[in-house]
Amino acid sequence: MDIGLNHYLVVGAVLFVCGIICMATKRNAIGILMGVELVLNGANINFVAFSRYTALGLDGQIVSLFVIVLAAAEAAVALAIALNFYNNHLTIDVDRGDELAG
Amino acid sequence: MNFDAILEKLINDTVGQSLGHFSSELALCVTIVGLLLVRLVSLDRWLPTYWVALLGAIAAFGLAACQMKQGGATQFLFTGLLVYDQFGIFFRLFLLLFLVLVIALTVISGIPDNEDGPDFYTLLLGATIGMMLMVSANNLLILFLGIEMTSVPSYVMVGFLKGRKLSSEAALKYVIYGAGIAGVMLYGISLMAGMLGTTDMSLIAERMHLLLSPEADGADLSVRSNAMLRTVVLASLLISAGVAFKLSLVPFHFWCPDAFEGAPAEVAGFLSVASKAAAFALLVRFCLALVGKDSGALSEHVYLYLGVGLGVVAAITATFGNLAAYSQTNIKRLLAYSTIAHAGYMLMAVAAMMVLVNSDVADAKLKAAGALEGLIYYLTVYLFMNLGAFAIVAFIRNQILSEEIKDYAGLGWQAPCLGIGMVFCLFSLVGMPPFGGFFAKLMIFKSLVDAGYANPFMWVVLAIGGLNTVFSLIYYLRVLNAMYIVPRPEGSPRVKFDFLPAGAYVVMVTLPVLLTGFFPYFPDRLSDTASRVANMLISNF
Amino acid sequence: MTDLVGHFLLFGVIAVGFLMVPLLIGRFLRPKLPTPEKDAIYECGEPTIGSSYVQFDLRFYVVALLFIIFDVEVAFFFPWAMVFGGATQLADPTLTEPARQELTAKLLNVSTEPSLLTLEQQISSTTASSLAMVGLCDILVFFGVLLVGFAYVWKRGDLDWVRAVAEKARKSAVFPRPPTTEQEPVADTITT
Repeated sequence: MDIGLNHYLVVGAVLFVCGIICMATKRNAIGILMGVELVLNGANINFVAFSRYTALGLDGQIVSLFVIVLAAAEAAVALAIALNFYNNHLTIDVDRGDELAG
Repeated sequence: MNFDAILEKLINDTVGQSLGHFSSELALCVTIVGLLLVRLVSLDRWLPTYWVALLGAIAAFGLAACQMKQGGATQFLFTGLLVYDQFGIFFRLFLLLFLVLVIALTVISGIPDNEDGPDFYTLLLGATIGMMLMVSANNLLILFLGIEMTSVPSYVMVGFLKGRKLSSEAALKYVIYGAGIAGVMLYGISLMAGMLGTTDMSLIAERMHLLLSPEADGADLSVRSNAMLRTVVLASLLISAGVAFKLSLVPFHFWCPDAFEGAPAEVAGFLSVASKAAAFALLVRFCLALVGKDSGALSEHVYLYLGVGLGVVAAITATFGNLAAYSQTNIKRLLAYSTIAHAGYMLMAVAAMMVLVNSDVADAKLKAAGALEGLIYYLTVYLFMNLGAFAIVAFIRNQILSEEIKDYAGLGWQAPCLGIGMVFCLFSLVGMPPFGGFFAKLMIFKSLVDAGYANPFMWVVLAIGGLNTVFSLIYYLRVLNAMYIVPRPEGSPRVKFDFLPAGAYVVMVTLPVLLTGFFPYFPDRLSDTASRVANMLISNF
Repeated sequence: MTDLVGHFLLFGVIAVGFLMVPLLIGRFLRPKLPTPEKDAIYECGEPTIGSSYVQFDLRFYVVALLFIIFDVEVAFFFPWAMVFGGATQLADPTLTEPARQELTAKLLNVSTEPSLLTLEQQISSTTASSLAMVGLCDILVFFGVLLVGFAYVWKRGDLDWVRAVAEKARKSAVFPRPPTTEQEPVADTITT
C-alpha cells in the first residue's frame, strides 16, 4: 500500500479531533494544554505532508519550524500562568476559577 | 536566472529596501534588548526602565511618522512576507501613538514598580511588535506569528499582578481560550495553505479561481475541486475564528470580561484598543485577500457571503455587548462589554465594505473605501475615548482602591478633572452629537445605508446598530449617575486628586475626543487622512 | 489496498478479542471475597507510604520552563546549519568541477543530475562565501538576542536552585515571622 498525502492528513485530523475533545472535556488546566499541543501538532503534520506532496514546497516546513518554537513558548507561558494560579488557589482545576463571572 | 543573481537581489532587497521600511519595528526590538541590558548592568537604579521604553517607543513613532510623510507606493518586503502600504503605515503609526500614551499612563499610575519594569515593558513592546506584524501581514505564517506574538505577552500582562487571585484566574482563562483558538486557527491555516499550495495571502483568490476554473475539468476533477473548495471554506472559517477571538466577537467573547476585570486597568485599556485595531486591520486584509482583485463568478459569492455573515455577527455582537453591560457592577467589566459592543459597530463597517466592494452599485469601490474610512475614523476616536476611560479608572483606583461603580459615588464633584473627562469619554462612546464618537458612528451608519442598496439585509443591521446606540446610553449614564447624582456616603474619606500629572494626562487624552467633535478642522483632517488611506488600499486591491 | 485494510481490521479484532475473552472468563469464574488486606495497594510487599499523587517541587517546573524555551530555539539552527555548511564548502575556490556540481545540487535541492548543471547554474565560490557571511551575521544577531535573554534570566536568579530554596523557606515562614525581619522583596520565582 502506498502511503500518500491523504494518510498523513488523516493522522493530522485524528490528532486535531483528539485535541479538541481533550480541550472540551478536561478540567485540569495542564490537561487542556495537552489538548492544545495535540491540535498544534496535528496542524504541523499537515504542513509537513503538504510540503512534501503539494506545491507548497519548503514553505510548509518553515511554517512548522516556527510553530514548534511558538508552541513551546506558549506552553511555557501557559504553564507559568497555571503555576501562578496554583499558588493562589491551591488547585489547577479550571472550574474552581469562578470568582470572575457576570 | 542563476543563483549568484538571486542571492545578490535578495541581499539588496533585504538590506536596501525591506530593513529600512521595517525600521520602526526594529527600533522596538532594539529597545527590548536595551531594556534587558539596562537591568543586566544594574543601570536601572539611576535610569528607570520606563524612560528607556518611552524613548524607544517615541523613536519608533518618529520613524513611522517619517514613513507616513514620505508616502510611496505599495511594496512587498522580505520576499513578500509583509506588505508596505499606506494602510499598514497608518495602523503602525496608530499603534505606536497608542503605545507611547500607554507607557505614559503606566509611568503616572505606577502599575509596574521599578523591580518589574523591564519585564512589563518588554511584554508591552513585544505585543506591539506582534500587532505591527499583524497590520502589515501578507503571508499566512506572518498572520499566525503576529497573532501569537500579540497574544502570548497579553496573557502574561493580564496576570501581571502577582499574588492576586482574580488576576491569576483571569490570566488562566485567557491563556486557555487563547491557546485553544490559536491551535484551531493554525489547523485552518494548514488546510488553506495545503489546498491552495501557497501561504502568500495575495495569491489566495487567484488560486481559488484555479481550483474552480473550468479548464481543469474532467468529470471527477471537478468533484475533487469541489471537495477542495469546501476544505478551503472550512479553513477560512477556522482562521476567522482566530481573528474573531482577538476581536472578542460573539461567540468568541468569553475571555474578554474576565480578562479585563482581572487585569490592571492600564493593561485592559491596551488590550481593548490596540489588539482590536490590529485585528481589524488584519481582518480587512484577510477578507480582501479572499475576495481577490477581479470580480469573477466565484468572488461574487464570496464577497456577498462574507459581507452578510460579518453583518450578522456584528449585529449579534453589538446587541449582546450592550445587553450584558447593562447589569454590571464593576466598571472594568462594564467597559469590557462596551468594548465588545464597539467591536460589533466596527465590524459593521467591515461588513459594509465587503458587501460593497464588488457590487454593481454605482461607485462601488468609492463607497467601499468610504466604509473603510469610517472604520479608520472610528478606531482613531475610539483610541482616545476608550484610553481616557481606562486611564480615569486607573487613577481613581489608585485613590479609592476600588473599581466598583457604587464606590464612585460623588467622585465627580471631588475630582472635577477626572469627572469631566469621564463625561466626555462616555458620551463620546455612546455617540452623542458634539463629540468625536458621533461622527465616527455617523460614518459607519452612512456606509451601511450605501451597502443596503447592494444587499437590503444591511439595512436590518443598520436598524439594529441604531437601536443599540440608544440602548447603550442607559448603562453609560449609570456610571455618570453614580459619579454626580449619588452623594458621597457620610464618613468616607475625601479623596484628593492633584492636577499634575494625572489630570493633565486625562486632559491630553480627552481633548482629541472633544476636538474631533467640536471643531470641523480636526475631523476634516482626520477623515482626509482616513479616506486617503482607505482609497489607496481599495484601489490597489 | 482493501485487502490490507481488511487484514489489519481482522488482526485488530482478534487481538482485542484475545485480550477481552480471558478477562471476561476470569471475571465470571473467580470468587469475589474482598478483605481490607486484599484491597490494599500493593507496593513490593512494603506498607504503602502516602498517596501516589506526589507533588513535585515547583522549582522543577521553573527550570523545565526555561529549558524548553532555550532548547526549542535550536530548531532554528537546523535549516541555517544546512545552508551554512553547504555554503562554506562551496566557498573553497580550489573545489573541483564535479564536487562543485554535486554540492550545488545538494544545496539547491534540485532534482536534475548534478553533472548536467552548467557553469552558469553552479554556485561560484565568491557567491558562496558571501552567502556564508550573510548567514553568519543573521545567526549572530539571533544568537546574541538569545544570549541577552539568557543572561537576564541568570541575573534575575531564576537559575539558582539554592535561592529558590531559601525563598521557599521564607515564604512558608511568612506568617509566624514578624514583618520586621522580612528581607527585601524578592521577585517571585515563578516568572511571569
